Amino acid sequence: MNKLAGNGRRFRLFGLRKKHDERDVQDEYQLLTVRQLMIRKFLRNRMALLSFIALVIIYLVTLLAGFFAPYTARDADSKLTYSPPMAIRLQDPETGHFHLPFFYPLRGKRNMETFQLEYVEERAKRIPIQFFVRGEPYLALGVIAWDVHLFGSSDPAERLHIMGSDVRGRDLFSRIIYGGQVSLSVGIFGVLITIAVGSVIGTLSGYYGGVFDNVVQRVIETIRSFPQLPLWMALAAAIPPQWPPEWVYAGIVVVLAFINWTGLSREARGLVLSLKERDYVHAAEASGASTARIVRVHLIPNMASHIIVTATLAVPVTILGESALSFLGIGVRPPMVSWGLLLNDAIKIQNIVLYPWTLFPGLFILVAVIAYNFLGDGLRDMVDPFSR
Amino acid sequence: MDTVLEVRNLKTYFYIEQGVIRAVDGVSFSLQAGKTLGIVGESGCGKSVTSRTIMRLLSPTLARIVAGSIKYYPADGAPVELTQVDPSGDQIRDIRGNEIAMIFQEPMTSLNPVYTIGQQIMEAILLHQDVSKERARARAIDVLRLVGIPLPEQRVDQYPHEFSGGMRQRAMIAMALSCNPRILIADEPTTALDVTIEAQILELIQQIQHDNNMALIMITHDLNVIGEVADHVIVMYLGQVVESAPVDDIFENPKHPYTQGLLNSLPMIGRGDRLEPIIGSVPGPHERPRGCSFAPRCPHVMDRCRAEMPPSFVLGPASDVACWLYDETIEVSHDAN
Amino acid sequence: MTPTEAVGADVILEVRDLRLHFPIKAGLLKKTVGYVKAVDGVSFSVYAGETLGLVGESGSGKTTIGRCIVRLYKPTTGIMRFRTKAGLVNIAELDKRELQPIRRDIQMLFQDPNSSLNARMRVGDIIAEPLDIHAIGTAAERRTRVEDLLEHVGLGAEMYNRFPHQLSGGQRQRVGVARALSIEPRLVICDEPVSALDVSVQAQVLNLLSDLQEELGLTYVFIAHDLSVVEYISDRVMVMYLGKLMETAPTRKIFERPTHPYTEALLNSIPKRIRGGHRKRYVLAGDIPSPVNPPSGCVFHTRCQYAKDICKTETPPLQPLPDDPETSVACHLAEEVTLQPYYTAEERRVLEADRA
Ligand SMILES: Nc1ncnc2c1ncn2[C@@H]1O[C@H](COP(=O)(O)OP(=O)(O)OP(=O)(O)O)[C@@H](O)[C@H]1O
Ligand SMILES: Nc1ncnc2c1ncn2[C@@H]1O[C@H](COP(=O)(O)OP(=O)(O)OP(=O)(O)O)[C@@H](O)[C@H]1O
Ligand code: SF4
Ligand SMILES: [Mg+2]
Ligand SMILES: [Mg+2]
Repeated sequence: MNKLAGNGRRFRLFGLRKKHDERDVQDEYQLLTVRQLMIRKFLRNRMALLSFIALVIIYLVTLLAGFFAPYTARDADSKLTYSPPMAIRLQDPETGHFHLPFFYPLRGKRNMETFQLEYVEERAKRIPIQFFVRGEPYLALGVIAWDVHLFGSSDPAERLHIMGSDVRGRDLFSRIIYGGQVSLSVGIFGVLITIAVGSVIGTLSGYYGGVFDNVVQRVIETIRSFPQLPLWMALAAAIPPQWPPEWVYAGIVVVLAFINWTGLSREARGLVLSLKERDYVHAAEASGASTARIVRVHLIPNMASHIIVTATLAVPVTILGESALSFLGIGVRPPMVSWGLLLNDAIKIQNIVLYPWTLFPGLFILVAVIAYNFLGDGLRDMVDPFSR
Repeated sequence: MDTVLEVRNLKTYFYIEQGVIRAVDGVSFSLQAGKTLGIVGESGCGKSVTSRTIMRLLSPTLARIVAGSIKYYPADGAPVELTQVDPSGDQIRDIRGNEIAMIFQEPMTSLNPVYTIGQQIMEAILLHQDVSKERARARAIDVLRLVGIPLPEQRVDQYPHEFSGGMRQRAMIAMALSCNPRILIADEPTTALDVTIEAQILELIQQIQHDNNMALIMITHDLNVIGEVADHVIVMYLGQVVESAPVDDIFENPKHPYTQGLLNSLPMIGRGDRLEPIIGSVPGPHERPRGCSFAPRCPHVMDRCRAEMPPSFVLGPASDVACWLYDETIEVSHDAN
Repeated sequence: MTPTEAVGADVILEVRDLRLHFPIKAGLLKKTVGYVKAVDGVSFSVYAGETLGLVGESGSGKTTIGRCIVRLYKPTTGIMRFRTKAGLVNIAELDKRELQPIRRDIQMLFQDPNSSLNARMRVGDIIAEPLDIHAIGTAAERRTRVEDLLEHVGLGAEMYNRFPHQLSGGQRQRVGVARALSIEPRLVICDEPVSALDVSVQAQVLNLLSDLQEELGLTYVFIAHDLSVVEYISDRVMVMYLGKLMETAPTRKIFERPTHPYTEALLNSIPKRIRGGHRKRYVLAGDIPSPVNPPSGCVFHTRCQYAKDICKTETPPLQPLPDDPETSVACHLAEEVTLQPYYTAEERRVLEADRA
């Protein structure tokens, strides 16, 4: 006998079930499924959660632009060109009485020294702001004809510009909402193309390697060796000027995706290279699994979350890219509106001084870009739910 | 005997979002010059945290020493209470590296890849000794030769990636030895290495210890290594010392059911009979059992074990065991040996 | 196919002169600039029902041999004859489609319980994967089979819907065992299945493997670098160095009468407790050379304390000892030098006295 030690209970191979049951009640980490762990991780990142909510709101508003915008994007009023933002008031500044929300209309007066149009509030006329007001007809979601707006002036003759108006007296706030449709969707569509092209090429070149991989990597290096913005500009400038605006829009989406796919493809390739050396892939191969099965069962589920993070972080880059191109006048063209195009109004320095509200679109770009970056950050935490 | 380090009832807790991790929860031992203390236990039992606490290497925002004392007895002068010193102050920096040195578990990650081996050893020397750069370099070459690196004059200018795993670990040892420390803490110095390289490193450490009358703390999960190098052994489980005894007693007459279980699980050449593993596995850091931490896996568990934590029972001049089976004040059947 | 040499009826796998050289590519055009000779001319037989241990230092080519046998790699050259119902088949030559039926008979068990299970899959699906691939049984039958397997490896059917992160390391390794056994293989390549586990859990898995072997009549090739584990589980041991086999012998003989100087050096490196003191031991100097440019002659000659001139020039073949056909050794001096066993005669006496 082994003299070393006591008569420890003999280990029984198949009688262990009860023993393990005792250990089942464990640390909550061990009780949660992968998905639950991921959600928990995400919720723990406050900024990401806030950004996510903010983005959902922004997208909803732009999606239902007709309803949320008091006017359409083209609705002009030559009497109110470059009107400053109008204050929404609850209190009468003279009497100090409170009312439901209202505003004072602006009246333009030419300053005979500078020859500039200057606006003053007409205090005599208190115009209530009305919710669910009937106004300009529009197509909700592009199909349903409707004319109800979330809010607006109760007097159709007196227009309300909460963020001011532009050179032709069009409501800037409404134009920003409509512009968001283009700017934000360029981000989404651009990234969808990026994901489709980048992950397929990246997966293939990672999985098969060899000549294909070699060629793809050289192509990617070539594309990435150009500075991003000039390359975008060169490609955007190549879009024929006679194309209709919708085509130009599609062209810009493709141009923006043209650089982004390279980053995503590298990410996908790197992931495949590391995942295909995992032992569970070897185990599947040793059991005779087909390549299609390995990609479907083992690679995609483990890559998806990384790809989503990279893609999320590529959205703000695309949004910025569109804005930059449109700002420079080589992006989407009127009559389409986008944030970059709106910002184009602020291109002259004296405009910024005289009409500082033309910078509002920039604020929206900033908010969207920052929100996407925080969201990407939060998703990155989520990707590796097992690290605590 | 010549005690150089005395640890009493040390407790180091981590305070993290999910709660408190009692990584080290009552560790006591004393270390004599020229002797080797083995610390053995399974993964996560707090071996590394113990050694880092002694070196005061843990960031105070993360880990807190909640109780206990660590007394270091310098060659001359008054004992130093290491739990009280400022972990980023001058006093600990003088002791760290100079008097107490440490070799880490991962030879790859504990060397800085952007500096040559020589620069890293010289930095350690210049930090503690008032010598010229040339002297420091000569000393670096000396210690590299001492740890058996061939052609140390050339090797001193190479980068860590130009060294093999075993050679990196030797370089780490060279760095640790550069200031002739009185205590060397080796945290799993051979875990990442092959047996043949492990043998080289163990041989080297023991020889240097013998030549310099250095005290050695050998941390490992490998009982075979402990059996070869240690004089005295403490066995840790979930942050606590469950048994402390001279090495021969640990192997020939283990007292604690956990020590017995470990030995019964250990394949040893020539032992022949079937292994008898301990049931279950080590609980995670958040699920420490009430009472005796080993109770859920213990073959001798009694009601009392589940309710009350056993204190340390003194069984001999150098033997303690934390197990209710050895409580003389009540009637229990001593079937453990 | 090659003319069948006489292969004993009890041989399940016969490997002849197996080589795997990984090309080293460099430069923009990925030109081959050299080869890693990971496995360089290895021959051995595996007998049905045995456990064949494979030991050697890191980088000696153990995993590569294992992966050749399960055909994750296609060998550069060599023959691997595997016994199927239809007789011996050279699996080194088969293409993907022809391999499919053979894959049911040979499975592999992996070292790292963390990377060998897909974290996004449920335990039940992981174990059922080989059944899925080979389209065995209906969904309900598969489920029953998986539940049986779970019970069998000591986990319990309620683990079916768990995720790997919800299990301990030992439990994960049991899932790996269940997956390997799900399609009833005859030969299992165990690539360091217990190296990553704690001692107490390691013993559980070792016992599980040997119980399953007895019950299901499995054959194991057991790769390990821990000689005490190999001694515990194997019937025979192969010692590997730099892509070549140095010695094969029954386990007991390896430890009691090593015949290759490298085996001796390995044995001497294992930590050993001598009561009441420390021993002075012979340690092998230096590191294992690079498999890109292995030494000429006997690959071990650069570290061998017995090496003579002939060792530097001529490669010794692996051949049986004249007086002991069970032991094969690749050393010019095999019959000249007497080597140290693991325990000296003195130590063995003490040990035996202790046991009595
Ligand atoms: N920085 C840290 N933050 C939180 N917990 C920690 C930290 N470092 C260690 N721990 C916890 O402290 C416990 C003890 O860890 P320690 O590293 O000392 O184990 P060990 O005995 O050295 O194990 P191993 O054999 O794996 O090295 C573990 O439960 C571990 O999870
Ligand atoms: N896919 C590969 N491509 C190139 N070289 C490889 C590849 N796989 C292994 N090698 C090389 O082949 C040699 C043998 O490797 P192998 O993994 O078989 O060793 P091993 O004996 O299993 O070692 P370990 O004990 O570290 O697992 C090593 O030098 C290794 O670097
Ligand atoms: S105190 Fe009880 S449970 Fe703990 S080791 Fe001793 S007998 Fe076992
Ligand atoms: Mg440690
Ligand atoms: Mg290996």
